[in-house]
Amino acid sequence: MLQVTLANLRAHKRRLLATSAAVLLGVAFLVGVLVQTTSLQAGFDRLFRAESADIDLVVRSDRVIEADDETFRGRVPASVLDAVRATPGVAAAEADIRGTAVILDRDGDEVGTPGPPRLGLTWIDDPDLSPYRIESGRAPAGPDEVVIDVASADAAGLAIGDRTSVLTPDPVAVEVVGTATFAGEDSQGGVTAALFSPEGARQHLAGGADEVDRIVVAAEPDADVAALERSIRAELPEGAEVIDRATFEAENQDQVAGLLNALRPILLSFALIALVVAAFSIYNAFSILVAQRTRESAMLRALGATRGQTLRAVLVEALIVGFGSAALGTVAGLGVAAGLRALLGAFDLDVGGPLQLGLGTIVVGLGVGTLITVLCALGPAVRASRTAPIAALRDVSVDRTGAGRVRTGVGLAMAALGVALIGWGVADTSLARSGLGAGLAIIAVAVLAPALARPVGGVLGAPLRLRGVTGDLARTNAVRNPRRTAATSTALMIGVAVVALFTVFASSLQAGLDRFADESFGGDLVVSAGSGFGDLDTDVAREVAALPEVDAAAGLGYAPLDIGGRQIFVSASDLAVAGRIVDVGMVEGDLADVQGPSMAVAEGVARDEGWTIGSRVPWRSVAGTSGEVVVRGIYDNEEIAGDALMSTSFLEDEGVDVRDGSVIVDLADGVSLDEGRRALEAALDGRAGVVVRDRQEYLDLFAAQVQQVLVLVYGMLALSIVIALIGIANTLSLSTIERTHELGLLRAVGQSRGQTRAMVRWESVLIAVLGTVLGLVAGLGAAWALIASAGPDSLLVFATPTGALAVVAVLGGLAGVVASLRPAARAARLDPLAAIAAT
Amino acid sequence: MPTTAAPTSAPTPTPTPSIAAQVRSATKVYGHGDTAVHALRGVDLDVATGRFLAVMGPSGSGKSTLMHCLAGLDQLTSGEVRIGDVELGSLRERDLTRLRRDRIGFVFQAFNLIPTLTARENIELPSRLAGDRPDPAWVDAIVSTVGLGDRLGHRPAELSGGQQQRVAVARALATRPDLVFADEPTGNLDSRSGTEILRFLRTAADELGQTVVMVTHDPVAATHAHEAVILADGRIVDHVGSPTVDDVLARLAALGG
Repeated sequence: MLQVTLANLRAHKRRLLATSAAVLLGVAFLVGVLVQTTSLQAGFDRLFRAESADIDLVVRSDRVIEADDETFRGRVPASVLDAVRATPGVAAAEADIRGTAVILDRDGDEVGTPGPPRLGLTWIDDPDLSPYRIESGRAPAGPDEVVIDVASADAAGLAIGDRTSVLTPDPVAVEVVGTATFAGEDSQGGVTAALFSPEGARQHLAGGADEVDRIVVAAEPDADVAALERSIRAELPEGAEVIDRATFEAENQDQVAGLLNALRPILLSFALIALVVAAFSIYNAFSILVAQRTRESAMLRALGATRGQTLRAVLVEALIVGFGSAALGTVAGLGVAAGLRALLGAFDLDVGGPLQLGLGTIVVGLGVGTLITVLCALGPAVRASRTAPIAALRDVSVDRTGAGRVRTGVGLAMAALGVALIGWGVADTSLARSGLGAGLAIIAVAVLAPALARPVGGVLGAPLRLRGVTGDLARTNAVRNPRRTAATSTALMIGVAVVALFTVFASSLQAGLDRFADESFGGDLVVSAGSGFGDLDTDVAREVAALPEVDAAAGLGYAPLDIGGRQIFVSASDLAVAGRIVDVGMVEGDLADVQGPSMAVAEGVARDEGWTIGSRVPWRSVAGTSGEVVVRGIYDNEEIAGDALMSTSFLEDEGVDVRDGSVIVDLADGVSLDEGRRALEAALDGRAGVVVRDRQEYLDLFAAQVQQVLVLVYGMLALSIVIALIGIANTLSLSTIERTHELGLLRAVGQSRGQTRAMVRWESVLIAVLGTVLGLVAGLGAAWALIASAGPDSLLVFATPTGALAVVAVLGGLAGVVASLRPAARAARLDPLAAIAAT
Repeated sequence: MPTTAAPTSAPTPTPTPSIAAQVRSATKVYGHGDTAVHALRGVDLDVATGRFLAVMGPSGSGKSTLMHCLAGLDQLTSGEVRIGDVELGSLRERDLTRLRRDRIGFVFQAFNLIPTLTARENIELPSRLAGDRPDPAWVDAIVSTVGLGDRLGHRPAELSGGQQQRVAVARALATRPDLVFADEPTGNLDSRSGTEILRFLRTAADELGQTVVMVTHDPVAATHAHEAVILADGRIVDHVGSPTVDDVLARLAALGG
């Protein structure tokens, strides 16, 4: 039997090519994702190990607030450095003051993106205590001198001696006196670094306070580090701690692990989609191959092959095709990984280093590719083994399987369950239930596809009547094997459904932002950092508010704070004014009363904590300050106000560092938008990197971000769509081979080559449009279910991007045309005589 | 020497027979050199309008090749084929297709029908491919002649083999072609169904004036034709008017095969 299998493989190389392509591309994507995430991990590990340099111990504050997965830590008095240095066994110790610092290029534009951190650091000369080394120029000496990383210098076009500004977020005018490498590389994986002298760091990063973020310590070469740790600990004042190198490294790597743990499942789910789509194509190809070989299988059975042998023959074929394609796919995965790196690089998610193709990745790639192929061939193989020997004597070898009653029943049950779950999920705003329901409903559409193929195909194909008999033939051909058509179009359906889902999400987010702006956002102008995502000093709001053209201006700020045990970002503003510009939806109390040691809280938080108007809640900050605030208001617009609202001036008086994300400005009566804008720009002229925008311009910034992510998603889905198209082309090719007689007859009785081509083309278009339409319906439905169950308070407002979806539908049809090119050309080339004579 | 299938004992008066198709010095060679197969070695044949001609001969005699070349499905190596006044060798593929569609009807041994179309749609297929609507009165006439009235809405899978061939005959006649070619039309049928098909072909010639060329190796089938030509080894070796079974068998036996 193995001989027969091998002979089959040789004889049907072309037919198996498309099957191989589906496996290959699916595996390539999977391997590409694994390689890229492993490489990212390795790159980050390397960079963060490098950050530890030869540091043995780190002294720092033990006051920590973790808000939204971000860790904020207090500072220790600068005097601790002297105590540490005086400890016997310490070879060297330096203070590191750290903060955010956005470097501006020569045009005043920000260097880097909101992705990787943009840091202001203290220059440390001791190579044991810092990974930064001077590449050119010299170390910073004066307080307004900086050394910047080589990558930033290149990106900004800054050279030694150039003057520019660094936003900390206050603009600091600096002279670039040198460039530095990080552990031999141009940057720490996209982190931009502005390195100040200790005095510069004290002034610009620590706000002039005699405090430092950390003290890095190198022990004497022969010192007992554990003992040294104990003796330093004994010297430390209240609020400071000392950690060893291992803890320091582990913490640094945990930060990255968080990022990768978020990224990996997203990338893998796109690989999974590609594999599911590939599975449909593989299943289809084997179904058709087996159907076409019915006679051969029957003959083998008649000659004495057992069912098991027939079954194994097909499975061995699948095994060989699967393994071979998976091996090629694993190699191709390196190419996909390089592509992913470029794609993620556009989001500054690239840390360089070689691509890591580990043994584990190879095993997973080969295993998954082979397993999927064999599993997909299992059903067709069983069907082949059930061929009755008598079938060898019959003519008919055409796959005529339709929709089974059981399958339709199961599909309807799944659809009903899915819809019920969605209904339940929407009713009690449970995203998990709706998600499960939507997933189930999409699978149900796939299960029901054979039953849907005929009626839906009939409706969609109705316009083909206009194409005369060629169109009629195309339509009937498309639905003559409902199961085959269903499997072919389902592959495309899945890809399109995900495209539709994300497209609807993007437009709903856009609609949500617009609604948010209309309902909550009364300002005329917005002042923010150039990119829209940086921070502003709270002085900006005060300066703007003082202008005669301005009626009211409120900075929308934030600060990490511990409030009654909840570690959150507290929203901070001048609440006497903010209530006139933004609507936080007060439920109880008056926003204007939230002054001094008081706060307003979101309704949900108040309910969870049992807080009511007049409750006294303890708070503490990383600065070491603490106290009590009185609840003076409760509101329900959490999108704009977050969990809790406090007065900016109160927080700043308590030593809490407040950063404004934006300043919203209401112009005085009679001041036009242009006048107001000119006045603001004139007032802010001395501040680098601050931009004045009107409402729409400000919202467009977010829209641009959404679009950028959408492009990334489309890029990730492109491969799945390509696999689905290869599937369509393959099915058409195989169907064309199967219908050789018929095509020959049509040509003999007068069908022109053009008509034959058109017939195959329209069949392809119909299958593609069927998949596209089912996909659009499934994607729209799933998007609606998810958005509806996110609740009325979510930022998403269900919006159908009609234009974009129409483009998807048209592209689906065009894709059908492209997929048909080769099979149609082959069908048209058929010699009618040979076709009729062929058996 | 040209073997003209002229009416020797015509059952219907045909005083000056016009020629529907003409073959001159036809040769057909497959392959080259040592492996070359000479399927036709200089055939001359005139097919008179309104006649039912049977082309007979043993396997490999070249009868199918002759028919395929006559029908524009295959190209001669040398020589000429004319349908009416059109010389097929000079036609491009597009024109050959149009000729097949508009001027020739086919009945094959099997695979005659498109499985996805109903009987009526199959019958109308050549006209519809041309973008025309067939003359309904004519189609009805043919349908009633072949006796398919109540089966027109069925698909081929729902028809018996005999009914399928009757649909094929109806389709071949529907465009009023110059010529109908039938390639072993009874090969897959039981004798009763086969006889019916042959009667229809004869009726078409006698009553509708349809020219029919049928390739067969069955002497019984040949007896339904007005006349028969016998091929052997790529040449026309004999010509029988109003063939009878004994006649045909005797002449085939004379070939020594």
